[in-house]
Amino acid sequence: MRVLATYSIKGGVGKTSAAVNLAYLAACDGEPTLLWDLDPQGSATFLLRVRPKVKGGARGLIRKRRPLDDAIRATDFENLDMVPADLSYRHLDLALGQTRRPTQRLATLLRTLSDEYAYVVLDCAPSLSLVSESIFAAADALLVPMIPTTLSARTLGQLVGFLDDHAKKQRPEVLSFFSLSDRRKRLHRDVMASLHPKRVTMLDTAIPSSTDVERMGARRAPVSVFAPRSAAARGYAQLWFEVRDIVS
Amino acid sequence: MGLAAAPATRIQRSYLDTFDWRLFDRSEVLVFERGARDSLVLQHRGHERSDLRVPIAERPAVASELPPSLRQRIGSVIAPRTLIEVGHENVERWPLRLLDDEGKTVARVDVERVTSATAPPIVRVELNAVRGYERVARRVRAVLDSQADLSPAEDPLVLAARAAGREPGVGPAPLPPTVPKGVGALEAIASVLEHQLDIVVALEEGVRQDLDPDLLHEFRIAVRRTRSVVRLSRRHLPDKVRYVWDSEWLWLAAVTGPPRDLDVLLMEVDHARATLPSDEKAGLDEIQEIVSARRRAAQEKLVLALNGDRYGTLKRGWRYELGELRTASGDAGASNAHELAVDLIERATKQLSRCVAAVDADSPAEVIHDVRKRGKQLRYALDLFGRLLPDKRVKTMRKATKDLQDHLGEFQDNEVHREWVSTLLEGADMLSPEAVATCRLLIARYDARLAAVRASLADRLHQFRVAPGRT
Repeated sequence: MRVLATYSIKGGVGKTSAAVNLAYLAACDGEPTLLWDLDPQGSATFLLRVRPKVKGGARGLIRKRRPLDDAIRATDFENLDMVPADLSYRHLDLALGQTRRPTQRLATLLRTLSDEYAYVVLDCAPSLSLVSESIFAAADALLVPMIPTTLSARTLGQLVGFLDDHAKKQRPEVLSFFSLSDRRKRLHRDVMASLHPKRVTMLDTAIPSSTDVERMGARRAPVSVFAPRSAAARGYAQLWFEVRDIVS
Repeated sequence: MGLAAAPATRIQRSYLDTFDWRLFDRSEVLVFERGARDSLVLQHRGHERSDLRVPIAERPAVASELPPSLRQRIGSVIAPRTLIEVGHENVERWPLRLLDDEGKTVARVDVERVTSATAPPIVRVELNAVRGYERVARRVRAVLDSQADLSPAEDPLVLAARAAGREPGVGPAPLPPTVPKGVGALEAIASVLEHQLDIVVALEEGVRQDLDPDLLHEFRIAVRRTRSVVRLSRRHLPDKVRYVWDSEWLWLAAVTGPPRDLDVLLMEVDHARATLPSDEKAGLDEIQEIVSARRRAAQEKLVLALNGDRYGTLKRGWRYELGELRTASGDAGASNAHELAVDLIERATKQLSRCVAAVDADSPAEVIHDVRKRGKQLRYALDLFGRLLPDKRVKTMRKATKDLQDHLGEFQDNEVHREWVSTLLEGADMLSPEAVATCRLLIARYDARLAAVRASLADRLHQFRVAPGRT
């Protein structure tokens, strides 16, 4: 089982879109895939039409009062299941803080599903916290979407610095890709050409800024389902091939 | 709640399993569906897991042909068996989905009209729970139970398998008979031999169709056991049983030998593919092709033999002979099954011990092979008549011979592989330089293994000679 986390310190960079589309594409490959929406906003949960409710909430899961298995919902797409978001995830830090080895807790929970799923995709909330450390310990790779702007590049640097300081033993591979890119903008072109961050694998694929991605909210489905020939769908497919080749 | 209907589809559904129902025994159902989109579906009976559905172009025949996700789940259960179609359905399906307020599917109801070659058509309403929404499925079921005029359907796999003349969970070979200790010796021999004949008959169609290498293996074991029991109990048997039919069983053993040897050699080629360094296995594909072609030719000969008069006469004549034996009176050597078992097992043990005494690590391969044959003879006697003796004694004897047998088995396998690959090399002018190099490498490998077996043979022989249960 490979655990991928779409992660960024910054919000609004396309984490959820990437998580939903990549999880869907993994499932289309015939690989049993689980998407866990860790963001209390529950956007991925909304996109897949699942109710954002987990019995027992974050505390129940983290303290293992309820098995993770109980929280799993099948989506409408073959081979793709999800653990929905829950508003209580906003207190995930607190729940983790009350356990003995908080940074290992997510990894321990996911291990119980290793027989069942080939891929787990974690859709993470933007933050740098105890939850982040727990995600770093559980994930084989962090997929970091980055808008090709100076500020986004700066947050990638911050993330790498944080990993260097806080994830020395279990450092996941960092795979970054440009998201919401617009080649008509000179700044985007310049950043995409000049950025060579250290200890980060920059993927070749860039996900274009596209109304099709925005339409996911209205269609409540991965972009490949309702606009399979769109540039965005092709971008996610290419991104998935790249990620799959690296993590498998 | 809402209901959504999708267009009707036509599906040809093949249920796949090994001939000995390895998936069924683990509550797994593997289905190859041919329809708008061909796919392979793995369903789990009895526990809540979403079905795994994988697009696939061709029906897989072996574990290595499964898509990676399925191979990971069930590959080790299936291997080294072949996947065969254990049942087939033609289905016209009208899928319905029950949706919640979010438009999310929370239960699936498929109405299916099922036809098969041998059973009358049925209409089946299949309620599929969606993981995480099992409560909804229970409510739908309650509604269907109370308001629709439905009767419970049989498990689709079971139904399809029975329509194909198979009973799920029951392997093709019949169970061994229970022979009471007090039954006459001749009747006991007849029962055991009839069982071996039943196995041969039960497996012959699978062997003819080449469904799985293991069917031929089991078929050959039944043949060897028959010959072994006849030889071992010759002093109890009338001449006709002792001599007349032995040449026929020997013929059947000979005709089934080459395809089995080639099956084992193909497994060995697979093993070499997995273990040889990548720069040394360039010729393996060519070798595999040649061995496969020879295997096909050997199979054709085998099918001709099984379809021929000689085999039919052997089956009928042997069954008649055993019927006569069952009702025959008198026996010079043993009065009942228990005495017979003691006699046969002691005789087999003595013969093995004599062979072991005459062999050492430098003995010719034929002599070492003879020890193995005697060891097998004892093992068959223990398998077939051991139940008539105290458990503890049989267990100790098995333990004493097992290690030696495994060792000699390895020797024999490598001898056979070496011989086959040497035969390939004899036609070296037909082979590519890569294949010749790989053949030489394989022969060197077999020689090294044979030398290693010989090097530790003295120790194994000594262990057998001093083993407690040997006599």
